[in-house]
Amino acid sequence: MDNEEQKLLRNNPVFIISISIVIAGIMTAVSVLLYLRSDTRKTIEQIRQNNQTSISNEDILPSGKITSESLTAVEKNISEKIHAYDDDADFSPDSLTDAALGL
Amino acid sequence: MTRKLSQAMILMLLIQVSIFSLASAQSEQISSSTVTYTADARTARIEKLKSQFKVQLNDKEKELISTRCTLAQARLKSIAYQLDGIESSRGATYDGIISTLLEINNRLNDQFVDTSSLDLLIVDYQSVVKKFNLSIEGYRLSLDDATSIDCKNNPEDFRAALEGVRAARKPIVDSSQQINDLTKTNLKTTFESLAVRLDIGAPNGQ
Repeated sequence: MDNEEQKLLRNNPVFIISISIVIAGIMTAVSVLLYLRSDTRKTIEQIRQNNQTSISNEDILPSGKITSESLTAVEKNISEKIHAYDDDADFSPDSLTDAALGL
Repeated sequence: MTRKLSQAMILMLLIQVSIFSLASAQSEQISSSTVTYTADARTARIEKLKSQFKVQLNDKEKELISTRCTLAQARLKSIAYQLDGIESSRGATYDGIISTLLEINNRLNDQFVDTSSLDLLIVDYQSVVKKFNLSIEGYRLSLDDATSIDCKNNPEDFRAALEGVRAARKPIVDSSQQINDLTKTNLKTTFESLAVRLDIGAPNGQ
């Protein structure tokens, strides 16, 4: 009886396809989980975050002739961008101390 | 019908496994030669750092590093990942500034304005940004060294690599400061002198 049931299941294409779909689903879920926990994702998010904060340079300079006003605006824009970066935060020496590294 | 379907699925699975094995074998072959090369280069760098920083640990220090270095390596890896984002962001900004200055230069030339001071400013920016990029590469390399060492078995190597990371950070901050200074002084004065020329409106700034 059991053998017959097993044979029926084995010969059932719907059953085989369902098993394949379940396995594929598990593999996809594992891949997504691994990606979400991976450092690659952290890197991509960091890059995305930084790209959002760094405004495109194409919009600094208005089209047409250069005027003293446009130069003042460009100078202000560039200065703001450069001074927005914080070396102490980006390259903090504190994060490299023995204590910070748990040594 | 069902048997054929099963056979087809098994065949597809076998093909997939074969392709995956082939790809893995090829990448292993490529990476093994790269690993040998980088390992040799890394060993040379670490030896240099060991003598530069006179790294000599006693047994207690060695044991302390061996037991705790895995966590330290994980934190250094995290710093390396953050560095990718910082490099990308700053790189885009610095390149954008240089391209903006080049565009201003072109347009001022079309307006027959003397741009010699701007030429110098652009060269200064290009030079200091190149310095910044090189120092970032040096920092990344030092982080790679520190995170790829077998620190449990080679605590002195790890200590030397860590000193290398600390030393490699300074040139980045220095070049970043140079970019700040260039912006604060040279950019301001150059643009002010160009603005005066534009306001006077005389050709060639005369």
